[in-house]
Amino acid sequence: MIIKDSLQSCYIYICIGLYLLAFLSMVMSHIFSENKTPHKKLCLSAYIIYALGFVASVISFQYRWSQVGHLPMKNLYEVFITLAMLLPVVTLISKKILNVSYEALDMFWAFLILIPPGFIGGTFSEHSAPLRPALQTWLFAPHIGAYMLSYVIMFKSAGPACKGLFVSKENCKKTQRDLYCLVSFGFPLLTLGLLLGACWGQKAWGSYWNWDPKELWSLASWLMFLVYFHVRYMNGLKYHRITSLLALLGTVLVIITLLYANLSKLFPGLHSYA
Amino acid sequence: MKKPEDSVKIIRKTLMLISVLLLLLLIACSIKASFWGADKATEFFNSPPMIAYWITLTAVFACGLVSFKRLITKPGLFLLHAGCVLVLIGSMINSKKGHELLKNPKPVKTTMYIQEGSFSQELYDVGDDISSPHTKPLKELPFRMALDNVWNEYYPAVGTIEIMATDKTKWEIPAEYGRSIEVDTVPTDPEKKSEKLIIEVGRIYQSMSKSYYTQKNIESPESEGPPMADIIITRPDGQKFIATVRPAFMAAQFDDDGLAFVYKNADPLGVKEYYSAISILDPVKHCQNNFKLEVNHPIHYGGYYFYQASVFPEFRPNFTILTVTSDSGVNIVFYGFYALIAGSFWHCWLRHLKPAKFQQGGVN
Repeated sequence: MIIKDSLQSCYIYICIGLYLLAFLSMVMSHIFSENKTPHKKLCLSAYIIYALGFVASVISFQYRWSQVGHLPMKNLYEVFITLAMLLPVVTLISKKILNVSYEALDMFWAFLILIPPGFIGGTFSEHSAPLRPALQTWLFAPHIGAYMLSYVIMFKSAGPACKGLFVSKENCKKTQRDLYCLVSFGFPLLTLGLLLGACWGQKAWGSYWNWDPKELWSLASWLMFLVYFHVRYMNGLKYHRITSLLALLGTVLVIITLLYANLSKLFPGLHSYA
Repeated sequence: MKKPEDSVKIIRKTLMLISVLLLLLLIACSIKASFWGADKATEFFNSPPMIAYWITLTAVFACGLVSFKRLITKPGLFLLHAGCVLVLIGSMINSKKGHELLKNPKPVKTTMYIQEGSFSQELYDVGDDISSPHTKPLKELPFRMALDNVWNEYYPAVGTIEIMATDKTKWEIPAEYGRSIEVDTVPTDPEKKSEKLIIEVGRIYQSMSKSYYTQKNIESPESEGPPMADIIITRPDGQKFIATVRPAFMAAQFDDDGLAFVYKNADPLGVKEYYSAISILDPVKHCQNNFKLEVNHPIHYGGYYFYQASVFPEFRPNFTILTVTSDSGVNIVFYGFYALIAGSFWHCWLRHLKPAKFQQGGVN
């Protein structure tokens, strides 16, 4: 763990502080709930702090963009800054359009995601090399952007998936509905990310599929959500714990695709630069 | 006695179960193969048991399309399943075994080497050592590829100004005009107190020399002097003065403030893009086509894709290296991709455009 002294890191530390404060306020609002509804003032303050955290993370993203001269999604350091910026957007869409909550979890994810770029060197150092020839294509932004957005949504789906493992069959309807809405929201973006990557592979490497470790992990995560849809269709709410487990495994595979495939030296491949 | 509807239900349930098991098997294989590296994984996924697997999976998807009415009536589901079938069929056609079975004479993936000012039509196996006289080409193209020109484009280099203090403290600042940094002095005179200086980068010289008339620093490409930089030092009382920062080999001295400045050249230049100017000479079509080939912009000609893989290999200068792949089945795979993307967005997003319906949720 190191403290970084650049301006970029200052923005990250501000975001970390605001997201953590938002999370704590939200937890407090549930602890001091009145008639099973969260404490209004604490809840409102959590939302305001979360919104401020989002503004700070947009500034951080914009600053990084101006420093490196390309969309900051090239390495894990930049990807994590982007993920933390996208989380509040997903929270808002989930709440307003899908009617799915779990805001406290989002706030915690946003806080957690910024810890590596804030305090870890090495892979998460601020150093940025110029874009390689293969990365200079219009597909760079949509491929990684679609993946980032889908990853954030799938992180969020871990909330109802975990809850679904423990609730009884009588009380599982709302949890299963939330889980299905989130997975349905993220799945097309996961598909888009995967296939835009294949299109890019065809343009840059001469093959749309190279059986590269990162490709294999991303295929496994995509297939796991496909299995989730099929099992859910076959059984409805009958085996709700199994469907929850499948969605949770999908999220675990997404995390492995994002992190382990890059950090571990077990998987050298075409995506090693990421 | 069983009703015909019951039999259909059993068939559907069995198909669903088989498809789920096949998908789980593919997940397990993908995870296992990710530890092997791409080459061994490619070999595994093209092995006879996996060929049987791919055929079974395609057949199960096709049977699903026939057996489940909703897979035909619901556009999103139809596109998703038809997309999977297309991707699988296209990939089978594009594979090595697919080429063999269809008696397709094109090699699937090969490498081509062309010398600047020369032409070639020889395709080598990937990984072949072409510097060996015993290496023979895999196939010859029916047309010639001439390399008119080959060049690299580099990123502009940015050097660094390193500031060292006698107490071994170091600061670094990119050698870009207008950049500034605050540093602490370490006075050589023990009676003086440390103070803060602002160091601002001034003009950068790629090749500096002194003007004969004014004795000022000037840019002089003919002098072939080393790159240097001017810095503007501002003292706490606002007093400013200019200093010249020289490269390390010119041995920087510590000044009265206990500071020394060194100009460090940029790291080896990063390649921004590889380019090859290619002409295709086709004796059948009696034509010549000129292309500028670069990474991410392949040429599609005569049933092949030509990719800029690399340039200037160590063993042969002024050469370009192209990856050449067969285009058989690629279009079908891409139609499958489009169907999958359209299907997933339609089924998961667009059909729920009525918010009230989506908020009810739980509808497959």
